[in-house]
Amino acid sequence: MNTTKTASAKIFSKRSKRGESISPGVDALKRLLKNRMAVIGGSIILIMLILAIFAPFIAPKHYSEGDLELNYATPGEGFILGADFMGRDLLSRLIYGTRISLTIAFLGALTSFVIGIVYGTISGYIGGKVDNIMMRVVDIIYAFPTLLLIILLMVVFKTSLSPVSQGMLIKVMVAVDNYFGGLFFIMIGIGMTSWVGIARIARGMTLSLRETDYVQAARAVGAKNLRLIFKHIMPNLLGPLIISVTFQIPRFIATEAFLSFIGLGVDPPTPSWGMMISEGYKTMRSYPHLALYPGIALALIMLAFNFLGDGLRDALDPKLKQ
Amino acid sequence: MISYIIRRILWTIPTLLIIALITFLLMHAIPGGPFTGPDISHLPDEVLKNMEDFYHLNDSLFKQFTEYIWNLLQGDLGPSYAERGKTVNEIIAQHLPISATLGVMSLLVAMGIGIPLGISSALKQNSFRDYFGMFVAVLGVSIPAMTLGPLLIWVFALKLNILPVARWGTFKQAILPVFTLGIGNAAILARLTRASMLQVIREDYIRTARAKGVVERRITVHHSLKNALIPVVTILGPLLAGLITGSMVVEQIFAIPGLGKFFVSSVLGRNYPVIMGTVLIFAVFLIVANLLVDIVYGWLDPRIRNK
Amino acid sequence: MKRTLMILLVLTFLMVQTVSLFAGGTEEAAEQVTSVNLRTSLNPETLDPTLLFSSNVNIMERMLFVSLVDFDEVNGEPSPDLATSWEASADGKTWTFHLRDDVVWTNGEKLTAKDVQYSIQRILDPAVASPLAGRLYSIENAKEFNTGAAEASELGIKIVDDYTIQFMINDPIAFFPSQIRIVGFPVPQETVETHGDRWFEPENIVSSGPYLLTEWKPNDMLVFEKNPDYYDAENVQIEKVVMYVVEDDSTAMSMFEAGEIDTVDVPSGDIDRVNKDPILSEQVTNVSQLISYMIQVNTEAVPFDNPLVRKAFAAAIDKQSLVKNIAKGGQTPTNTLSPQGVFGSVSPSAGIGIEFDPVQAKEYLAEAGYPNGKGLPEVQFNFNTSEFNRNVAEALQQMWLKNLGVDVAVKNIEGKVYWDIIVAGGLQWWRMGFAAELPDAHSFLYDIAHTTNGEKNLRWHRTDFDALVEAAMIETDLDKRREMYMEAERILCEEEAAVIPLWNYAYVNLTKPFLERQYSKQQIDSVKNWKVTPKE
Repeated sequence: MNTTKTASAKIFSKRSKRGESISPGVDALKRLLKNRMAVIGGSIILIMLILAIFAPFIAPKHYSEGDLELNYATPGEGFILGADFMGRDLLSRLIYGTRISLTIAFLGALTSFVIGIVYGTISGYIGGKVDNIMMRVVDIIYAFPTLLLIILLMVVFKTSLSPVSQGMLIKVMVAVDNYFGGLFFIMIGIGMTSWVGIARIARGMTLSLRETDYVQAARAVGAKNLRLIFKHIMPNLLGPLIISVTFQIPRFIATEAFLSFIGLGVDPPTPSWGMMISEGYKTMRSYPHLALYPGIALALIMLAFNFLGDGLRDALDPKLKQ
Repeated sequence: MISYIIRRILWTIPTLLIIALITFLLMHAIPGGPFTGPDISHLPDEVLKNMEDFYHLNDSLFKQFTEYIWNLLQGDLGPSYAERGKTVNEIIAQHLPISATLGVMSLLVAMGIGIPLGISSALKQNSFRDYFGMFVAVLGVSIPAMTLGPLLIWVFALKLNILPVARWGTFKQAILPVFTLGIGNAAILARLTRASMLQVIREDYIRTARAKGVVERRITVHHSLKNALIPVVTILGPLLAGLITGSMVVEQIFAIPGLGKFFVSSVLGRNYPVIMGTVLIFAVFLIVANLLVDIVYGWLDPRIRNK
Repeated sequence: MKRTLMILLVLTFLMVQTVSLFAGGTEEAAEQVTSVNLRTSLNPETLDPTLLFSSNVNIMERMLFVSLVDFDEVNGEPSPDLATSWEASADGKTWTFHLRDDVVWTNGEKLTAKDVQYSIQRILDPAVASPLAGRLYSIENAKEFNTGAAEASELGIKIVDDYTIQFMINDPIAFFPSQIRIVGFPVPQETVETHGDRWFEPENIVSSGPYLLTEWKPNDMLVFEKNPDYYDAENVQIEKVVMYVVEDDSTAMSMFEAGEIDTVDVPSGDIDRVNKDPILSEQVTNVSQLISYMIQVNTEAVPFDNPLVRKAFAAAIDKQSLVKNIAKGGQTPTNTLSPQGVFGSVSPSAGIGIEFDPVQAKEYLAEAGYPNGKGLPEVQFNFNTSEFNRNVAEALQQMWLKNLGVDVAVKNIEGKVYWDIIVAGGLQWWRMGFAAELPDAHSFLYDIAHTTNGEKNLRWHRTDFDALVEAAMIETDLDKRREMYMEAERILCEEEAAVIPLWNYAYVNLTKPFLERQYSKQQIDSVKNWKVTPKE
């Protein structure tokens, strides 16, 4: 298996039952797979991923295809789960909706993770005055009521970047946003506010890692800063940060749902579950299925990520023995 | 510890100033103003200009901002553009207590349901009690307020007729909204308490206590709980922040005259002083909450306390 | 420790409970007066008639204040209120109003012509910055005074005696009384000057109408009680009105069903359910309004600079289906601009305007040079953000795709910037709702499509159309006026399709059987005329 002479300095190494050293990654994976809840969560996400990728082949109809005369059809023939107010098939829209939720989940996580880890590591590594200033910036964004900031940002995006705007960059951004059905700006809004939590953790860990003997020694030997960061510090951050980001995901999804609910979300006819709940809210007493099914879908995906996060945390926790 | 607190408190002032600046700039980056829009813009230009002059909206941004900060330092949060004669101070004084009461009550409910549920589940792990508790928690997290609220109204107010539909002021009126807002957090707290209790139970020094023969019950109460509550306390900060979100939806559904809905409507209406006022109030609230959480965290965790 | 923690939690919980109880106050016990519970969707931004701009506060304004002139819903004409009669001079430029002599303010003072003059002047005062000022620009020197170019004394208002007042206007407009109806609510000078911006709060307010304002909890509720000194008090039957502020339509609907409010406008999502319900369907009334829901077109924007293209898209819209499946309020689909019920509107039987005809639509498009939409430049339809508009837009999108083969992009624009973008010429076409200031075709045809106004939106010019609406404005022969407007509609909607009307606004209302009320087409309900059958 892996020998102890490894280029990447995983501080905590494990030994298998037979006394061999096994890579922490494999060890973690094993533990993860033993956790029933995490497996359920992961499977749900996997199924949704498949639905998202193969949506055009799985869904009975296209998400924008509808017949006004058949609106509000009850679950039955023609529409397995019923039809919405425009006569569009609910099931199809749910299936296509996986794309929206998963895009938000992964892109949001990616943005948050990348910005957070870069910012935090640099701040923690350099330390001193620079670290102080960078962390003050984080504090300020942290103190800003996130949702209010996102709402402000969304309104800025949606109003100033309108059909008449000038500027090449803006035109490109608007085009991209249109292509994604209004999702692009939501991503930016969420991304701009969620990286701070990650940055904080990254910075804290970098600070303590910087002082370890191993890093000091490597420095003494003349290892360049960048190499140190990438090969020695960052790998140790991956675990906890991945966990944090996984726990952030349900919040991203909920934020998108909320934005759609108050009218600052995706453009029609994009089938985001949040949008569908908001559409179904008005008719909840008459046609409950329209809000119920997207609600369940939303709940499932949020749960899945929560379970996965729990499992990851248990699996990657170095203090837990095998 | 004391110096830490003082330093944190001192930092709030520049933090708030910068938040005010960011909000101000963002606000004005949004095109349109309080007196634009399909109903208003049909009015003759002279009329519109009069209205804008009345609120100093034609002054330079720099002047408007400095005027605002100057007034702010004297405790004056400005007028509301939408309601002539009303000041933001009044709006906050009238509506913040309601939102705060709603928030605190729902947090208490969340703690009162969630923590015991989590503890009981952790003590009898993998038993029926555990699964049942976690199932309820799962449900709580799953159903968003915008679905749960109307559902509860339908069941309790319309079908069973034992609770009023909406509005705020009496105990009966408070039940549904507080529960709607609190159940999500209750579920989070339950899962968190359970996970953290489980972890602590396994900890070495608990094993030591067992080895010493201390009575089982005292172990639970004294050793496990205090340390298990540490992660729970740290989550209270973000939870409180989440209450702001949740309150917007709940206040709308239950027609509660709180501060939450003011924010969205004031952004859409470009009611600048109200936007600034609500952001600053919420920011202060968050900063204080985070500070309190850090203090309690420090007190609970002897390792930090003795640093 | 766990137990103490628990006890502490429970104690705090109970404490907070009790505190909130007292903070919120208790609900009053039911009294033995005829009362009614109403709902408004927004907290009134003001109750000062000089500044009052949103239509949802009209009902409250009319409860508290008399106005110079009222509105007869049945025949659509101004009717007496404060003024018992009025007439124009021979040249049509001087209007004389004769006032009642028995109207008193709630502080005991008599309401005289001086109050009327003060109030009109206050609206035009530039220092007050009232949004209503533009509606009085027909008065001599009004615009000048409002822009600081003239003194108050130069205004065309003259007090003849305590109960007679005259207005001098610039043009001999026939509908001046209708114009002044909207803004003619006298305000109490002394109270306003003493209390400034707070003069209309319950502690300070002095009013003149059928009801008094006794309580106002912001964003929560308002309470009105009958004014015993109102000049027509014996005909006001309802003694107490509680107005709840409830923003969410679905919640208001639930409150109605629980009996907490007595009349409500049904949200579109519940209309089907209400119509199928045996009890609720008996309590339903469809009310049409004098508001037009239309598509406006920027006739300088490609491809809509070609009238054939406009006509093609117009003919591809199935308005009946839209009303039935999306709008659901019993709206009247229409092919002409001025809503039914407005003077000068065209009856559907006249056959003016563009009908739904997919075959014809395709022909128009082909004739324009884009057979089946080939070669047609990108088209984007815009609407101001609202759920209703979004639903309509999506349905339209579907129709244009199905009936014309054209894929139209559909995008919302936030309300505040909507008009600015339209005025800047940035849109090809867009959705617009238009409520008349006066129940007269002039308010629609002139205000929207005359060249001076159309510069900002339609950018459309037809000299014959302009001539027609200008002449109609001062035409005294009613039949001739009607003919002129009919021809104007034909040019605007049928020949040119510069405007594509969809329907007249309507809403569905539910009212408890014990409440007898009327339904205003112009959102100016008069509670004083409503009646409640007392419960036994």
